Amino acid sequence: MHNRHTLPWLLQVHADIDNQIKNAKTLTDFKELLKYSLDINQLRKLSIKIADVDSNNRRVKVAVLSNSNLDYIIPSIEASSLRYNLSIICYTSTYDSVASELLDTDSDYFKFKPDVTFLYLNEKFYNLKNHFEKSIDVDDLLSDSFEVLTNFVNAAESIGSTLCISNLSRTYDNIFGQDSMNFKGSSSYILNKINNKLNNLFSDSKNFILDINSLASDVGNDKWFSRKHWYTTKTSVDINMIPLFSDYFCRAISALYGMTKKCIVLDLDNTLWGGIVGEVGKDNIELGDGTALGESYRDFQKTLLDFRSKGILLAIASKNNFDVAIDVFRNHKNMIITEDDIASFKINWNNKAENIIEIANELNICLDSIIFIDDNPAERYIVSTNLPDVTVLHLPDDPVEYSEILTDSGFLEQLAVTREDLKRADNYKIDKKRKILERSSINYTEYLKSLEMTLEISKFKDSEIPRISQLCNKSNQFNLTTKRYTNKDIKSFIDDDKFITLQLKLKDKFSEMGIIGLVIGSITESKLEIDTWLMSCRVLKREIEKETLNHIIKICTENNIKQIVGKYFATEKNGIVKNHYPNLGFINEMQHKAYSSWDMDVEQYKPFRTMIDVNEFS
Amino acid sequence: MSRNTILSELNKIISDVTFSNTIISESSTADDVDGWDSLAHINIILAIEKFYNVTFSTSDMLGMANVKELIDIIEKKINA
Repeated sequence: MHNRHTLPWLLQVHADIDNQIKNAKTLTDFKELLKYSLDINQLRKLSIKIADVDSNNRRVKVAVLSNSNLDYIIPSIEASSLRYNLSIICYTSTYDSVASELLDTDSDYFKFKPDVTFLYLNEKFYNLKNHFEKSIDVDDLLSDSFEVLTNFVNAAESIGSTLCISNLSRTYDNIFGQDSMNFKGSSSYILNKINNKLNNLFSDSKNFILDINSLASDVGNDKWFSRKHWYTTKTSVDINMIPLFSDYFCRAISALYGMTKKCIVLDLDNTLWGGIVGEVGKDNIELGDGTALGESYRDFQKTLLDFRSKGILLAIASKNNFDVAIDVFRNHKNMIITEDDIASFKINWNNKAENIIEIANELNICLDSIIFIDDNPAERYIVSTNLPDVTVLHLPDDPVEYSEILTDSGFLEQLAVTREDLKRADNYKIDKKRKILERSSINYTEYLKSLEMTLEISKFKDSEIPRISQLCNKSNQFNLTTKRYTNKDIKSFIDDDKFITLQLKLKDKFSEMGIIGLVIGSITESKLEIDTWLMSCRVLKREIEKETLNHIIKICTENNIKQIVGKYFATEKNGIVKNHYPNLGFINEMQHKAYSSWDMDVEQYKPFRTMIDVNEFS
Repeated sequence: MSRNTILSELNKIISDVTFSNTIISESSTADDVDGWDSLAHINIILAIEKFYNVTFSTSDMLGMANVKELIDIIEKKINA
């Protein structure tokens, strides 16, 4: 039995948890506690402690505005955000003051300047009720409330805040029963209409819908909404559902900032198939048609492959004899996942924590973007304690629930799947081919030449804004300043001629990689300061940065700019670009522990020669 | 389960939610305990529901005048 509101993909609490909460002091303690499925009181207690501790998590200011009571929800959201390496700080105003907050520019809402505005409006806002008039125009009925809603959207947009709005789930008695969808005046009919109109209103904007309707129906509307809690506290949800509600909200925010997991690391025996292949042999593992468990393992593989198609990488960490295990991928007729679908294999007898580190290095991803799936609790424990940044899925005993647990956990949730996401998993397959070419080339220059690279450099294009802001928010390693920008910020750079923007697209003989690098620079008189320079780790050591600088110099010469200033802000993750500027011939201007500044005299610059064909567009 | 046992368990639950050190007796009311406001009240009820695995009705939640009546309700439910 899968009870979603207990967050079964997390560790379930033990008897000592309240003491642990009492004694928790550091950020590490809090994060460790959030690996458990905590109840509303436990989350509230943590939220009080968390407020006193500094963290290097991304701070996100969220204004939560509602026509119902939020007192029980806010602390829970703030605490749950740590589960996603976020520090959400909420602003909320008194119950039912949405309009005065959003429509009066002197309100505290405007002073707070939220990154995200969460409008949590229940059916009362839309005046939802049954209508028995003979002819009824539902659009007309809803026009007033949607006009007000449009004003709310404009208010949030006026301060560059991303708007998140909840849709509606059923909280009323459905007196029409099975006829409710035929009767055009029924609350259910109108509710559907409202949710559709919300979808249309938000379908192609940076704002998004928190899909409470799906969540409530997955949990069960009876469980989701409590009349007792509504009448006693005016809370729009059963208070016991708040831990799930908060987690659902925080995972959407984490997806908004591009912090979704990138890679699933999988065990093999009793995870991808039933039985231990080293003992029973390839032909006797349980997989595919014929047995209940065999079919469920097959379907779990299908789900994993679907995630792969959405851009999530798959990797294997298994304690097995390599030849025996790989033989299943190559020769078992019921395997759904093939050798080609896996970005990295670590099949050996080493410690799994070590194997996961190797996978992360090989794929150029950080440990906090990995989710680990293993049926063996002992292995999960080892990975969880040795690599606290890796997310470990708490797998149920029954394999038929694996797929559901992974999906419902929301660790892989994305808000908008981009073209690059859909291609990502295949990119890693192609990278393997490049590695083979690299090994067969006489030397590295020869290899670069044989890649037949073409780089397309142009200003940011409006149509690429989603991908550009995704890169700004996701890139951690090749990123000189790690500044994060929203779609709106990107648009303002494009429109301001004091800024230069460059998007870099690369293709080679194996594939088109789309946008793999960005530069944003600001011009003051005869000086260009590089605000952002980042690149996808997939294209390191291709000399892209040299051609990028050639192009920047060209722009400077055309605009009579004499000097370029580059800065490096050290973070935990961007060590690889520590020497980026000196390697390109910049002169050190200032050197601190976590910060350095570098100068380039435009007139002294000698262009680099590389193996890349460059197409430049303005 | 004796009323005294319930009282000592309630002392633990209530101080855990309200962070108050006040020792409650059967005659205590919410006003006697720092931090036992309407917000904390629901949190206390939820903690009690979880601890004793019982469910409070709306009038149970709102009707009690003091700790004695709270214990009456709990006693009735766990002996039901």
